[in-house]
Amino acid sequence: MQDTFYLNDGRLLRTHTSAMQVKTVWQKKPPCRILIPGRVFRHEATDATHEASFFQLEGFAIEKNLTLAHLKWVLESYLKHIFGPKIQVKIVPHYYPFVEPGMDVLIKLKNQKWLEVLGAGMIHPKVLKNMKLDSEKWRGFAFGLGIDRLVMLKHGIDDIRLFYSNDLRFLKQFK
Amino acid sequence: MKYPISWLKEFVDLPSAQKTAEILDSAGFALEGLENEILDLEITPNRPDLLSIFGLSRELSFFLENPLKLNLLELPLSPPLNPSLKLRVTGNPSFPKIKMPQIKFEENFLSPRFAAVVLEKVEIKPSIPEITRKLEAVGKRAINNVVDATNYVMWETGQPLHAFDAAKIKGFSLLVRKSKEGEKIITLDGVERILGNETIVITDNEKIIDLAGLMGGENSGVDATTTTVVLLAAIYDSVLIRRTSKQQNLSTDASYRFERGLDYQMVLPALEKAREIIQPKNYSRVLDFQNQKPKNPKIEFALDFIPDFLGLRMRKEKILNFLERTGSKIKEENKKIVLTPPSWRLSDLRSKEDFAEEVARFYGYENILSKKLTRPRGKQNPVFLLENYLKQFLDKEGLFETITSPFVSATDLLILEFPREQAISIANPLSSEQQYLRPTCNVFHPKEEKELLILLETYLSEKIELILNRLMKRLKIENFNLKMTNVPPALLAHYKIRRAFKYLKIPLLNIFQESKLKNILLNEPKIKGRYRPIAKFPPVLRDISIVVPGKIKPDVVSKTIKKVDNLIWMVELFDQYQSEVFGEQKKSLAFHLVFQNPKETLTDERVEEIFDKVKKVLEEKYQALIR
Repeated sequence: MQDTFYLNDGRLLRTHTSAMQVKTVWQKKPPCRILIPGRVFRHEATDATHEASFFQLEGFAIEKNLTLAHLKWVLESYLKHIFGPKIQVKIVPHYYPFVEPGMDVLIKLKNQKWLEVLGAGMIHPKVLKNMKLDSEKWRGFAFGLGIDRLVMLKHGIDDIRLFYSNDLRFLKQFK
Repeated sequence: MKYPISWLKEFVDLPSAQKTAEILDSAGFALEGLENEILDLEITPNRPDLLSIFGLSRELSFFLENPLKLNLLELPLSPPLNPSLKLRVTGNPSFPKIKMPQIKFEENFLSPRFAAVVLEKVEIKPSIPEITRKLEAVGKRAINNVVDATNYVMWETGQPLHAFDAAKIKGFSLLVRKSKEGEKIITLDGVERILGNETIVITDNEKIIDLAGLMGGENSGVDATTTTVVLLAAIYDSVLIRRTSKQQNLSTDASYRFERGLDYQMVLPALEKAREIIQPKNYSRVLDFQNQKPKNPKIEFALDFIPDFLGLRMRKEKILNFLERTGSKIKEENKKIVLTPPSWRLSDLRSKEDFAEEVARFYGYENILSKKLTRPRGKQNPVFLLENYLKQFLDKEGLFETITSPFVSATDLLILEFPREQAISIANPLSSEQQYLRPTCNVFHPKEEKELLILLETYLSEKIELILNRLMKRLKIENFNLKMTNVPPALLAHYKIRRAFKYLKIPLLNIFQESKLKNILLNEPKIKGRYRPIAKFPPVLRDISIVVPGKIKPDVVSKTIKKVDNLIWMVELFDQYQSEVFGEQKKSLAFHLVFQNPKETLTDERVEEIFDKVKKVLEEKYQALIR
């Protein structure tokens, strides 16, 4: 679904931090709640809202009795924490191959439009299997968000490239 | 995909366009546009059954609990097309004997189902207005009644169709096989294509006449001279279609649907509908090859799984009602249910979690009450903690944190004196300037050390060295003597920097292993201020020096100056001192003023105007003396 950078040694650069889920669980066995911030890479033309390398935050939890209701709570609380208690949040079904059910989380902007900020869902049983876990015993949920995008929304920044241009006139405003 | 609401309404009654869009949105189909009563929706790859007017109408009928006005899967098939009526070839006198093509398949999996019918005495003419109108509404060009019928039926049923001019099929025989490396075909778009060995093709006795599932051949298409048509509705192997589509860089409405999967039971109804539209004077019986029937495993699970998984309470009747609305057959056995998904959801409904999602969708994600996740509190990764601590510390000392591009060029590597063979290179870089991954500063060093880089003008480096070494002591990191190094002159020269710089790399992992630090408290950084866009037009700089009473605070004066006009973008104190020369209890303050207009270039007159106003305000408010 995304354009990938391939390396000459046969590896590739991850297009999303979800790529880290399986490896991490091999090391940190459940029950676990894990956050993974990191750089991701997409072979895309850069413009005000697209950069070839930016940052995502991956989060997931694997425990015995997790439910969709718990995931909902985590996402809503997080967005309220970042944007304040008055922020309006909407959760709609969406499709991501590694979660089932999958969802998109949107917030209402000042211009009354809804904007996706997060993708999430219950970890797909096949992924749990790849993690060498029994999907009848363990339940997990996962979410991913673009850090750049959230910062842009919170501070009213209109060009993602500003984060990487290192212009002191921009950086000074956040001292 | 575009769905004219009037077309949907032929299959199901709908509320207003707005309300319909809202229902679809909460069902998981984002609205990309709504104009002229045509819904433009994003359909995710897991729901190929919705890539048709009928498919979406069916989904809406489930959500609204409105009955379908017309179920295409139950479309009565006219006798020749109805395989359950055993018609012999010599059959019914109302349908005089028509020569049928010979159809063979190299391998069954290439086309799991392949149905063909021969239409005789076809009149090639423009389509009726209703069909033309509908096609144009969804962005398709009307060509002639036969081609239009194939497009119309594909849009309505989801099943792509193809029409051959029977006269152009040499030997009146068709073979469905894989292409051989190097074979060629000129497709309907006039492009000559060279094929690999994994493309599904249809050939007659001497040549390839169809790039199956993608595009027909120029040599076999329907044109003004056509009188007999071989109409076919087939399902092709989705993997091979996808490979060919990528290889040929060709994506069509048909191939899009084949890649995602089709409804096995829609093949004959689609043929029937197209035949109705084309109205040949005579037509044959159908040849229906069911080469590979789809597997339809039943899914069994405890009824309790669904409310458990979703984290809510739900009555059994409600769960069953929602599950029925997927079109699945349900059998109850004690506390378990056995579900048989319908023919149009075979690729999507395969596990109990898939069904849980359906229940959640019908229930409404917005209606699920969130449940608080209880503690325990997580532990922070010590390397992150240390990194954050150092960054905040340096921030307070006046340094700025920057994030740079991970890509570098061959020239950059040369200047860094980093051997090119050791650098990681990208096979498909965005540009030749971005061919390598930056080998320093914890992004992609072969040894993968995490480090923090500090870069300073030389005259500041002593102060920072002192501060850092004091910090290391406070953090109980012993035996750590940080010393800054000169930035190589060649590097500075390359970027035309005339001042001297020093740098220091703090290896975070090393420090942490050396330190006896157990707990580092982290204060969440409070970032104030709303970003203002940096203007594209050059700024104007002015300096102002004033003498004011000693007790006046410089930042109060800064704020006052800034308030004078919006075009004053920044005010910065660069000097202050006290001297008897100014008088008792008086001091001098000097400010840089930066004027900037984000919309257009500033004129000198405008700047002067504002500057004069600033002087006046300072004189009035602080009895300032402008130097």
